[in-house]
Amino acid sequence: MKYSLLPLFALWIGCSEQQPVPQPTPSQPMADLSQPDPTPSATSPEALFNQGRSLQARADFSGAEGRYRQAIASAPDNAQYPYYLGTVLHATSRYGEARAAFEKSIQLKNDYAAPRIALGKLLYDVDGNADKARLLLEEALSLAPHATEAQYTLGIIQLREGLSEEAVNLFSQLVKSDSSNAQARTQLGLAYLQQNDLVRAQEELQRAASTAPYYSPAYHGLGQTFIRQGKVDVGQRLLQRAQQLEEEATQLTPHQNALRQNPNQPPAHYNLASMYARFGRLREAAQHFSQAITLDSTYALAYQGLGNLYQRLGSTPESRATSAGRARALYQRALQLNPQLAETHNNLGLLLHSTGDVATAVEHYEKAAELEPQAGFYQANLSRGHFELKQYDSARQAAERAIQADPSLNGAHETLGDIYAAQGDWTNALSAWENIGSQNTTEALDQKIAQARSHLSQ
Amino acid sequence: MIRSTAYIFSVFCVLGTVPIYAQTIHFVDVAARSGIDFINASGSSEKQYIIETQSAGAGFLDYNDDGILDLFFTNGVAASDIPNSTSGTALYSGQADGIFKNTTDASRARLSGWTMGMAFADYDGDGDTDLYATRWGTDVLLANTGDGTFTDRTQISGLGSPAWGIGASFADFDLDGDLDLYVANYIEFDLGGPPFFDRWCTHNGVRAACGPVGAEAQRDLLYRNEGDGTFVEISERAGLRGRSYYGMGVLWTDFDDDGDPDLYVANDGHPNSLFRNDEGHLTDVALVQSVAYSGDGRPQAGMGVAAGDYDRDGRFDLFVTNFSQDHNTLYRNSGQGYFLDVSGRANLAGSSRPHMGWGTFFFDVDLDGNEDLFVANGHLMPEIEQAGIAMQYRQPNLLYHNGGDGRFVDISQNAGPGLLITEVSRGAAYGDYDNDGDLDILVANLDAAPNLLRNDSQRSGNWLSLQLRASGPNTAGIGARIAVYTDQGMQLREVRTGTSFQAQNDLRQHFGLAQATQADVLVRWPDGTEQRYPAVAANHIYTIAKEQKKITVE
Repeated sequence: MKYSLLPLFALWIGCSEQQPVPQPTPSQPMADLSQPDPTPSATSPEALFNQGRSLQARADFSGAEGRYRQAIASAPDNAQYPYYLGTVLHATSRYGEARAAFEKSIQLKNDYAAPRIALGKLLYDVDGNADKARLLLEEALSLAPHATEAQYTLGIIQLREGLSEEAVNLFSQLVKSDSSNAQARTQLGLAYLQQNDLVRAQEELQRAASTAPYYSPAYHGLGQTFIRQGKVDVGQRLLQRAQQLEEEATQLTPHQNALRQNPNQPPAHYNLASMYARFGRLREAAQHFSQAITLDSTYALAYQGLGNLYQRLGSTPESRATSAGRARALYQRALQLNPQLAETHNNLGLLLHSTGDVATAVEHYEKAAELEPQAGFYQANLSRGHFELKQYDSARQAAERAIQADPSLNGAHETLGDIYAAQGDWTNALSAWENIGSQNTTEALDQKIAQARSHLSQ
Repeated sequence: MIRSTAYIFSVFCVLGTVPIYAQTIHFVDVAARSGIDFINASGSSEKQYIIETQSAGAGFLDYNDDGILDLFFTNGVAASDIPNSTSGTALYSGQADGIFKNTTDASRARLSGWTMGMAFADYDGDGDTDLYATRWGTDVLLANTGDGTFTDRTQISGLGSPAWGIGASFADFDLDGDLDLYVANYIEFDLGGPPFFDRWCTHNGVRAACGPVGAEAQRDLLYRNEGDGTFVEISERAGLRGRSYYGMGVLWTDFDDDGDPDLYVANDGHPNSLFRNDEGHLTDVALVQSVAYSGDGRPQAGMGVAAGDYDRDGRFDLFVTNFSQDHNTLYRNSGQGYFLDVSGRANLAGSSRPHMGWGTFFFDVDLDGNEDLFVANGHLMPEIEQAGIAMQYRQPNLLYHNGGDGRFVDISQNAGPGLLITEVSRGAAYGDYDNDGDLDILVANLDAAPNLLRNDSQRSGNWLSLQLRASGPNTAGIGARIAVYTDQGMQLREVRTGTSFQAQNDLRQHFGLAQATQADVLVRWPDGTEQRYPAVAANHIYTIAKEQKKITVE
């Protein structure tokens, strides 16, 4: 009898429990490994300001505010200090104080564009005042014609106010100076769409989607463009893609925010990487797993996560073999650091299993099952390993444990049937296979069932 | 000399921009002097819970069929810090002298608990107007007995969803002659349980009630009228199988002019839904039709909905009110299989950003033949005024004049004292309560008395008001499309229930005729029957009787 190789259970990735990210307390800002913690003892306004910038970059707004205020107290005529104070106050939703800080900055230096831009954005986003915001942003652009934030925000306002020609001009300037600016290019496409210039809209939105393949507004605009061209099917597919990306973005956002607030915490990188891996964004996932390892070379979970990624890579047999080798090394490193990682044992087992080293694979499945006895899929993999080693009793016991833990594990039912069939017990084999149910059947399973029935009818 | 010229120029500019119509539009709040003593109470004044932020609805109906509009108000539950508030819902019967008489108890229309929205229609085809009220708690169907009282038929009818209902609307969606019902439901909410009990969230840096983000969306429900006084819930069978959203305002409108009513639902914080009706099967085509998101691809916080042919091209356009710091959205129906977000081009974007919009409707306020637009506003958070931003809790409502060129002008500041009122408004509806030929406005306010804004504008145009009548079961012609033709072109209306936000408008269809003294009327009834009435004289309220094929002055 020839047995088809069952798809083994799920390379178990991206579904690990999220790791707690230690939170800094207000009195104890999170440690920055790259720089010493700035202390208020540095008294020059410039030093205080630089400390404030550093703290702000790490989302320690309270610390940054303190430094900026000290800098202002020492150098009250410096327009930069109240501007940055305003940005911190804006970020912490203290809008009235932020507005006053921006206005103070403009008062100190009337040709300073940055506080005008910040104030314009605040007035538009928070006060809802489009007219005043537009005025400030136009003033800022007369002072700093290439200020990208002013161009972008003003472009958005013009677009929403129906002034698509003005918006086209602004977004065109932005993409001319930075062709990789997918946000601006998307808005340029949407402005063309508003003008019903579908050819240009399609061109810009396609370029935006190709520059930023996970940026949903580009797909949304592109979908609309195709629909307006009468290509409804393509348009609908693109709109569905946009919706899917939006859902993913919703799930990614809390992890991205956590990382922004804790840029030096390995679990923050790990959690975000796991989410990226779940959505197939392997490059970003690899980057954050690697960053977690850079920050903490003993962080076993990150090695495991990176190993999972390598196990999915490779488009040719050679490249797959290379990636598998890397994955194996990463799993082994993870287990060296923490031998209690059941998932890593299971995934290493799967990798070894796929390369024909079933005996060692079984050892790892056994360890995974021992660490997490309620995880049915570890038992199912163990059962398959034992079965292939013709250790039928162990295989049957593991399959039964798998089914007991999770009766919906079809692979375990199939393996159990295979074990019975290998021992000539066609009645139990048929019963096990039929437990899978017709909605989950495969051609191979149908053949097995037919074979069993044939044996039983003889 | 130069200064003097500049001065003259600026004066000229100011004078030149004062719109002529703004001098003639005049609304006055006559609620108190008209006998309306209702005072809404929605929990406590601090608004820790999301349920406390919405339960104020209002609608026009004629429950006693005397040709004079009556009023219905929904209500929350009072906490001790809302003085003199009314307990439960209220029904006021309109009198010929413009005074309203409280008939809540006499008519048995008092509903306790948290009542949200409403839809009025003759669901059982017995010739009088029944009342469906959505609630946080079991929705209620009050059947009109015909003797001035209502009786609770919720259980026997098979209605009465326990979900938190907001919007509701009747229409004959399967074209079998009787009225079916759609109910937009909001979120799973337990006042004493997770995820929001005893918690505050923050928004714009100040305390805010938590939700809806973080709460499970409750599924909207479609009920088919079985024609025997009962309904069967057929949401999934009819195609409503997608993800549930936080449903708010809802209306039925035949946006594709194929003869059956389609459905538009505003969803809070989620993409809006537009269900195309294909012989009783509903398919969400909001994305394809570009009415799910704003034109720049963002989901908005949809609250109230309106449909109207503001540009008089023979197609119904859609309008959705949204959260503050975002714009209300006008979607123009291109007639080519998609809508366009023209909020900015129509001059409706910037002016709406400082306001949080709720009830809304198109109506021809100055009888010039173009449908104008009203938006009721009010923030969610009493503490928003402490956020250091230019945002008020009590906000003025917005009245936009339609210039007939695709653009609207905000005339709220020049439209009389009624439009200068600042309250926390929610539901809003229009109707000609005094039967004087112009349209008045009813606004429900949170923790306050409602406003009945009588239209005292200087009359500058002629008008027509049309009431449809048919022998059962759809006795008011819900879903009928009415086109009125004058020398100035065509105007289009549709008979709708629900709509706006927790509100219902006058079922009579009102047309401003400008200087035309007569108009040709074309009615397309829900069953597809068309009737033409040529040269109908202006300035009357008419009844059009389907079976008799007659139009008569009321």
